[in-house]
Amino acid sequence: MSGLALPRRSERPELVFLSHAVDRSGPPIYLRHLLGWLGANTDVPTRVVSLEGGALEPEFQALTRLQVLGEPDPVRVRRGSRPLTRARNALRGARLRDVHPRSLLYINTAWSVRAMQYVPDHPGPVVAHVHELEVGLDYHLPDDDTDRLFRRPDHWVAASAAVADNLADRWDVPREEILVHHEMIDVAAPAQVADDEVARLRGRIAAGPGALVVGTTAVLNWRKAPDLFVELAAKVLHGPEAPDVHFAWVGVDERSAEVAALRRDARRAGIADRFHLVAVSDRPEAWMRAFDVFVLPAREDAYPLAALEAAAAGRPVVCFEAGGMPEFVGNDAGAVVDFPDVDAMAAVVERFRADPAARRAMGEVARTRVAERHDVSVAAPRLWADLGPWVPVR
Amino acid sequence: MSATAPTCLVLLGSLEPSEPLSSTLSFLEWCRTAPGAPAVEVVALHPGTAAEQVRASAPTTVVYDPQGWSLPRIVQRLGFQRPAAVLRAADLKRRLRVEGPVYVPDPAAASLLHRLGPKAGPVVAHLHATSSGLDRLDPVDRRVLVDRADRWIVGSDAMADEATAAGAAADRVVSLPDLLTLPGIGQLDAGFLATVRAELAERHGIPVDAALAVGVGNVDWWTVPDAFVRIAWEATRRDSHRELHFLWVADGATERMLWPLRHDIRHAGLEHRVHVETGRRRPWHLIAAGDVLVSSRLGGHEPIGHREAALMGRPVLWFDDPGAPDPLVEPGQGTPVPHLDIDAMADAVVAAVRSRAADPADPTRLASGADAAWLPAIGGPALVEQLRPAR
Repeated sequence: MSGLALPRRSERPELVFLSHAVDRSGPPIYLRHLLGWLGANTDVPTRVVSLEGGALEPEFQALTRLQVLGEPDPVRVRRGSRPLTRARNALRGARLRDVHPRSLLYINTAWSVRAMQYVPDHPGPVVAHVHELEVGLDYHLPDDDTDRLFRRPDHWVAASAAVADNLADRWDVPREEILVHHEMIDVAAPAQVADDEVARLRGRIAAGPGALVVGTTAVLNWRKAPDLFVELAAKVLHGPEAPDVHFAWVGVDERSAEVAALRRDARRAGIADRFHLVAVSDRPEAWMRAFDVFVLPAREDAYPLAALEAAAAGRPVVCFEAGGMPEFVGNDAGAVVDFPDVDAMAAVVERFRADPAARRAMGEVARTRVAERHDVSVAAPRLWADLGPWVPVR
Repeated sequence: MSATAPTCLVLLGSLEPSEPLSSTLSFLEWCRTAPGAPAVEVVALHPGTAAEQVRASAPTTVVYDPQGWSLPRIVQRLGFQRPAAVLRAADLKRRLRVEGPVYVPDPAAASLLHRLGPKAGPVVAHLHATSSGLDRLDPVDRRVLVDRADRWIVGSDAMADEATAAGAAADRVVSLPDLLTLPGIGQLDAGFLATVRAELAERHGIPVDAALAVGVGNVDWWTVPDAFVRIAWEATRRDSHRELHFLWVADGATERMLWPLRHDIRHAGLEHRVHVETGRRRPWHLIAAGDVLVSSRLGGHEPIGHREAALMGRPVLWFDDPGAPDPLVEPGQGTPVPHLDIDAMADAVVAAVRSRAADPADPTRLASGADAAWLPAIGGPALVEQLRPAR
């Protein structure tokens, strides 16, 4: 928008994605892949309306029209602030006046539904793509946004069957209206990593060539369960074999209290030299190559891209029977154990250490599966086949 | 200190449940009931779910209470922000123009000391064994706390180090274990315990003859309950000869605070074995009704719970922390297990339950606590002694 002039309405409907941010978290990365494929393979006009910016802004701008509007201000901070808040939201919403009334609004993650406050009366179709499970919907999403999410959408996309089950069982979304579309990644990325970069990363955590590196990548929070990861490390490293195994969690913020707590636990358990916390990396595919086994200790995770990236690097995935990842792993691309059976998870790690051939075989199954199901070239057209008919004019 | 002595002012950050507040409540309750104890008044910066308990023990003022109806708050509700702030400051200044002792058991209240009258004193800061909050204070508030505090009470050596690192003179630091009082401990006979167990059976479906492992504390991830669900998951898979149940006592916790705990209980399939109690009974009633206290925290020990359990003859299990201050349990009253070794903790729980079942004495008996060497150091008189002016 230039100056105070209001934008003119688009002459044809668009596919308007509402995003919570354009950072390096899973749903924006998913959206970036989808936009790339849509741009290359369709003529549908797109735009992204994001509440917050992020590291992927340049990439989004190269793919589509990106509007970062800022979070609506739902909290009345002092007397008289509500009219001001409304005015500010109206001003931000005015930047979306050019959205054609028949455009399809695509809410990419439940949190993004907050952006609907800027287009509250949009008459066109609305799709909600839910990547969240109980923690995201029951615990984190404010009540107002929950109302918006479950009142308005015409169509539902779930990031995994586990998400679909949660929507149907706990939120009464008609199961027949939910389409399951698993996440997508660029499966070629890990193969493009140079071997010396992999060796350098393993050197950073002092893992020798014969060591087994058990890794994961995620932010540190309760849902991702770093507490179970450090317990797993202690159990494996205190095992009878005294194995040459290193554990690495990539994606931490060194200033966080969680880092201090994990380091305390590792120190007291006597495993500090084998337990590594690594800062956020913009080279996740390189770390996936540096790992030998990918462990997902999360209490729940809808269908994490990180696990798919590990699979693309040919690494077996070990997870709990929680969230969507068991749908991918099955019984041949790693292992699924009961939540919260850390003993069983440790036994799997030990088995993979003792039997490299079995580990590599399961990693190959994972690599093949992710290429067949989750590469952008496969998953994006599958989604478009369902989504296309909902876009009023193609 | 006689009944005519000046009122003791107690400054708190918030009235949310916490271990420092639990200790403070014990002190307030002792002051309310003990002959010759000083009169006390509480000024807290923020409200909390324990407000009712605090108000029941002492006259209480909450400075920033969004639900309150003080004059400054009424003026603020009318939209006059600046006059409200001026009125609040004047009100605070009046309340803090005291001449008696000032007890600061929560460093989060340090900002109140900026307005404390010059004749107040002595000012006694108390850093508890499990948390101090001193490192999280605004530097200006930390400075005023150090400048005004005439005496520091610490609950552990680590807290003493924190106090001196902040600028407290070492000769002003006094070590005193966290407070607890168990009013009515004499009433905790077998009949009383049977009543508590009957209540637990009714509310949670815990059979009255089931083995019961109890954990206590608010719910704050990375502090408590830490490994409680994992311990329960491992222990309930073992043969304990009696059906084994776990009870987490989260006194005053809200449902939102409990959500992560309930999530794990549900997803571990332990809804019928792990239960959460939020405050119908005092925590020590429930510790007494159990067979063993499981200190599942990994970050530090929970001395109040340990002492309460020890006084009532209930064994305590905790994760070992080499080099840390002792967990304040007499030999024979508890067992440490290796840090983070959930299997070892589960084994210890089962062993404790079996041991109590095999005890030829009445399993509902309670220790008198009279032989606890530290007992004289933890009552109200020990703290009041620290609140006296220097001779």
